[in-house]
Amino acid sequence: MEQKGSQPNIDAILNGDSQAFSKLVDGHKNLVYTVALRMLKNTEEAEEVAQDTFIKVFKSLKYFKGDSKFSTWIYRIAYNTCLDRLKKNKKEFLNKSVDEITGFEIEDTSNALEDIIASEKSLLIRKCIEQLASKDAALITFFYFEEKSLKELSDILDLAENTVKVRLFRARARLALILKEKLALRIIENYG
Amino acid sequence: MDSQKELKNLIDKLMIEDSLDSPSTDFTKNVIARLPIKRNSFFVYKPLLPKSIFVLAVALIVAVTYFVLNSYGLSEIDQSYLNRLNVVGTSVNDLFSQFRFSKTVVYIIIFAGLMFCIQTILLKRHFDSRIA
Repeated sequence: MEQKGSQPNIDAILNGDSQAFSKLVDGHKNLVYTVALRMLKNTEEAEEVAQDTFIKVFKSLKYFKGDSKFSTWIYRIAYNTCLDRLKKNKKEFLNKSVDEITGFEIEDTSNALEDIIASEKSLLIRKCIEQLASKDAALITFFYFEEKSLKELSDILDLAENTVKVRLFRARARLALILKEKLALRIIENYG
Repeated sequence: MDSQKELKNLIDKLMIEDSLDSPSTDFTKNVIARLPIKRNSFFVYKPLLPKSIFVLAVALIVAVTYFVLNSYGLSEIDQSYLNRLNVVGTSVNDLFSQFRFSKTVVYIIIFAGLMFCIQTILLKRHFDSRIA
């Protein structure tokens, strides 16, 4: 799904080659910004935090040992920078308590989704993700855009693999419920 | 278990249409501007000739010189080529023997040369500061 940057020339960057660092930024900026936007729910703050992420990446580059993928390492910094900002703002976006979605409702929602054209669907997804809690929004974004394994996700989020699995399931369930509500509202608006 | 799979399929289907957001157009430029490095390192200076080609060229020149000296000997070169150079030098000397520069012209040439050297230094500083 995503256009990823190739492995950066770390030695060149450490020697002050800004062009090599520009390539690195260009390769990862969209996902870093998207995650920041979905966690912080504010474009200005997302831009600022995304920039802070890359400054931290630059400063910490000499400590990167290659234990994980380079992209995993960057996204962990991005995720932690967002969490720090949320802590500083004292306004982490949490999930509202919701009922569980039933098998019938899932099928119903899936059928309703079929009737929506692609451009509308894209807008609908954004609205749904906007309503997810910060951590769930980040998890879903990393999972679907980077196609990360549970191990890589656990590295980014600093959680056990099983916890990631459970969280992913819950995040999907919440997203499905939000989607169901949005679709119901859309149907009412269309017939109203 | 089935409902879990259905749920996964539903969200998978939904997320296919999802796309990444893009930050502002000058995002990368702003990041680079905030880096704690000397700005003039934005350009990496590389020699025009790679080291290997430079070494090869030097070796070739040395080899050709050695070959020429070895084949003809220094005395022959002295006699044939240097004498011819002397002849050319004499005719050029004759051609410009009538030429006389006034003192003013000589001072102007020296002054222009001096200004050229100063301007080179000033221009270099100016462009360095623009890049930084």
